[in-house]
Amino acid sequence: MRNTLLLAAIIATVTITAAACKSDIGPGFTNDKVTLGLFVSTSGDIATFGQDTKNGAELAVEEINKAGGISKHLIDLRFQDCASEPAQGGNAATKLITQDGVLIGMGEVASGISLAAAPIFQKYGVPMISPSSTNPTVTQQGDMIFRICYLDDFQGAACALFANQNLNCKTAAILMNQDDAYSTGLGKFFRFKFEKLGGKIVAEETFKKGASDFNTQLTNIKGKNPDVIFAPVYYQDIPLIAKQARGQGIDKPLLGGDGWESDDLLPKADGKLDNCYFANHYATADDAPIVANFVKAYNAKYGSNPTSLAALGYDVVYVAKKAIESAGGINEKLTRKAVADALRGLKDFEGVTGTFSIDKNRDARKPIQMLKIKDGKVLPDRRIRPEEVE
Amino acid sequence: MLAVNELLQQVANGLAKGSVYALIAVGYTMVYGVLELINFAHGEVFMLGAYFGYWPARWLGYMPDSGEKPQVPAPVALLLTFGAMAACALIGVLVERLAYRPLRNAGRLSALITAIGISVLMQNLALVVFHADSKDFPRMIDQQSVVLGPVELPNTKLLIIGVTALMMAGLFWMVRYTRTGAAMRACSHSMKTASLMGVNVNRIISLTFAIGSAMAAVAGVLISLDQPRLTPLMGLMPGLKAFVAAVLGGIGSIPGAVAGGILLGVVESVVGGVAGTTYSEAVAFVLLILILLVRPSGLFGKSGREKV
Amino acid sequence: MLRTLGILALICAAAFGLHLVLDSIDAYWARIANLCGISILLAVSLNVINGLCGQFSLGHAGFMAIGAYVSAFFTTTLRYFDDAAGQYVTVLPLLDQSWGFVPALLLGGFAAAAAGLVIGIPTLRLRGDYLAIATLGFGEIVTIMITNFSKVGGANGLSGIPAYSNGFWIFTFAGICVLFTLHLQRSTFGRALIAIRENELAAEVMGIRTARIKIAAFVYGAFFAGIAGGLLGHFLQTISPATFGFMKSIEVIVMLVLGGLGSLTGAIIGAVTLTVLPELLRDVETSTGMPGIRMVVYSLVLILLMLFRPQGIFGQRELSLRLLRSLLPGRRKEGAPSAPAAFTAQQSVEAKTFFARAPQTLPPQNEGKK
Repeated sequence: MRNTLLLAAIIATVTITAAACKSDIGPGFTNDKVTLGLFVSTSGDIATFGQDTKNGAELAVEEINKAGGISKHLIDLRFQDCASEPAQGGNAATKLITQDGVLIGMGEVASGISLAAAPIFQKYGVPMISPSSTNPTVTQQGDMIFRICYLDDFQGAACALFANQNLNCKTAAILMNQDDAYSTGLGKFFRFKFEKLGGKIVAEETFKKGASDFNTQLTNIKGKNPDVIFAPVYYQDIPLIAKQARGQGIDKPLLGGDGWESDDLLPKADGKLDNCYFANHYATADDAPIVANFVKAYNAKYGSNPTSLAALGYDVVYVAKKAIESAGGINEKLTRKAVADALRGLKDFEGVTGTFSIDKNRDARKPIQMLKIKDGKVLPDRRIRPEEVE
Repeated sequence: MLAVNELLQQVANGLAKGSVYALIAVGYTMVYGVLELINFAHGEVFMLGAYFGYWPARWLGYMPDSGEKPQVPAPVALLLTFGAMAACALIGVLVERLAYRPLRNAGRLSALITAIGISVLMQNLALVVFHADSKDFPRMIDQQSVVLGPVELPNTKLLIIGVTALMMAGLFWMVRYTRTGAAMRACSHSMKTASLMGVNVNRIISLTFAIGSAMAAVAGVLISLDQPRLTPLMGLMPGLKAFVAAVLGGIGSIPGAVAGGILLGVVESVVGGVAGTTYSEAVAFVLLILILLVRPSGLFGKSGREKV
Repeated sequence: MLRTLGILALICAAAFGLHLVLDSIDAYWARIANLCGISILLAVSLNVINGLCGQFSLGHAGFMAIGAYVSAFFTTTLRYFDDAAGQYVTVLPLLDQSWGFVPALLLGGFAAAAAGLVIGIPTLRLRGDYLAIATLGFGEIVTIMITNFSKVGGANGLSGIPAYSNGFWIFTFAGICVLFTLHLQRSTFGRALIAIRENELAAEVMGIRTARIKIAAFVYGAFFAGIAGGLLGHFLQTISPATFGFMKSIEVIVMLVLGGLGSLTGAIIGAVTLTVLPELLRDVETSTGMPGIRMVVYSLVLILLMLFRPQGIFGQRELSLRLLRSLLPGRRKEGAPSAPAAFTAQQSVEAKTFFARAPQTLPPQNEGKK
């Protein structure tokens, strides 16, 4: 009996704590404000990505509010940290929905955390837009889940097409981070497309997250003598890989995805990345006015050049704004479902990361920009449209 | 199957990797020899060593935010290394004083939990203070690849192997032939007897922590020459692997730690070469469990029976 | 038997009541409460290995991972989307229903228990810190294996796991785990665990089959860790190897150390505290602009506890109604012991007075007679 009493006591405590905080989800806006939610990780091991995204998003909110807000409603941006953990990401999403009552949730960079948040947004019928989760399954979680970046399969296939058609490669090696879904995902889709185009993957090597010694892998690759090394890794890893590869006498080009993109890439690489290629959303050196203005404003506010993640964080807020406006602006008739419908019909949105539309899978359909590193500069190379790889 | 050349190259890769493990493992083994404590935070001291080399270089203007980064001249590089060693030694001694000494008689598990706590604390303080994004280590020597018969190694790796050999020889001489070394050995044999023989046990323990931490700092700076990327979590895996190396060689034995480190590095590289790199990360841990089961005293350790 | 069934029914009823309550309150706090339930399962199960038996395991997240992956494999990979029916169809019809989730969960638990057996047998030869390191190695090996096993998604993890976990299932299993452990503590088996913790050699001399008991503790702890993993997987609806890393094991240990290694109520309170606290710190982190300070606080708490109160909040004692009851003389039930599960030196005085008052509460040590 005592046990049950004990259990009852615990239950009672939890219940009382919890019951104190009952609230309703609300419409997501008031007379003069519209609440948008942002959930990324600003602590834990992917904090850098989250911080960049947050910087970009906050810059966009500041600009919009300075210009009068969305249909005369100022944006009230609520932020919750996901602490680089799926469970925390779910908590953050729930808090944004039930306590902050956001109209739209924007977030997470890591697909693993987006996947934990998506079912919650779906359940409450709140639109969620991921700025940069590339795993195909994210938007399959329901019809309220959207994204504005291209997917792993498109990016991997585009890289394979580029290797085959532009670099004339017959054989390739893949070097990827086994703990990172982005990396293994790109590797998988690259292999698929490259082999379909008649090429041969002669080596597939992996390393563990945080590794800084890639010599074992590179020696294996060197023995197979591939025409190109596809390394879908992040910008922290690739300079080390390049240096160690050149240190072992491997002179074949390296090819990578948007993870390479960073201001630090070239200074870190010490020229060892010359004649290498990578895919990206945009180039900071682009002279299109929308890009130039963004880079200038970002530099003025944060003192550094924006990364792709910052650009996507910036774009996601403007996508939300455009969706609200296409849904008829903020008035008592605006529902979250209407916003989702507007997102589904989003056409030719002009953002920093390119002009794109949302397709029937609620994914962004946008071209990919291949870049070449030459003499310490990043130069634009081929632009690949989605239909070219299909 | 693997060509002989490739195999030799993997062995050479493993030698350089193992040298770093050995440098860190020495710290584990010395502390364990004296205190029977797994100083879990030792991997984080290694990480701090790298950062302590980085910050002064940044303040001295070798790490400008933009533009070409000048090469650090050799004397300055040496000074930076000594600075990092001193700073880490201080941290090692402080941690022992504040966290481990009060628990010296509280049982090994309390000390282990505390050590884990210190490790997590250092990692997360580093995350808050240094941020999660990686930092570049200043350029100290120009990386060039050197061809040695069938293998090709960058000069940085050769430097790592060379410096490790030198440090180990010095350490071995100190422990073997100096009075302090004798006192250290006495403490590791029996702390109580040593204190009765007039050895200042507390001083010896502090010294052990200081030397071990300084070695870890050297490892931190050395690895940054070859892999110039600093992150707050960079100590976690090398720390665990170095611990495996120390157990492999027989924890408590300095030559054992060196042999274990080199062996682990070579085995990892060769397994990665022969069986693929997918599972080579698990090698260290499989090896650890095997050695603990088959020969818990390690390759060089003395096997002791538990007293009744 | 009837009594056990009665208690089970009671737990289910209580869990169902709680489930209804959680359904009606704010979803955010309901979610935290559910996560508390999972943490309780984890902490209480680890307490059996680390706290009662004194075998320091750093691989609890590994058991969790096995449970999570095995159960999610059964509910996710064994079903497919049937276009004609317009819904998911499972290979085994049993798994179609949400109650079919229980067999999947149990399978996950058994798989984890089997892993506990596998890791338990060889590590018997190891003691103290060596055992800790070996179990740490085990945890790392598990995540590396899962990461490279593409059938379960590799580094991507598994997603689209049906949301079968809810307050009812979580608190039913948490309740079962707590009550089992409570009974276990008072059984011959429980006493044997404590004897091993206090002095393994002496326990062996007393005729306790230490090897068996130690393995049993590992299997028991691993089973409930596996259940907790399965519940978490079906709660988050996505799992990946990174979720079950070394830091997860550390988190559970901090819960135990906070509450007091060896105390059941301590484990529960530690689990609840460390699940709710980060949520309360959420706004603090955002407003001070110091993200990540949470983990700093955790580790500081751990160190300071070890230095100034190594026994945790409760030590090896239990927060129980015994205190209250002692205020009400004459209501002591016959044969209902509330023995403190400890015979450490610092508590021997307490133990002596306890025995002096109620000697009949000492259970017979059958293990001693052969």
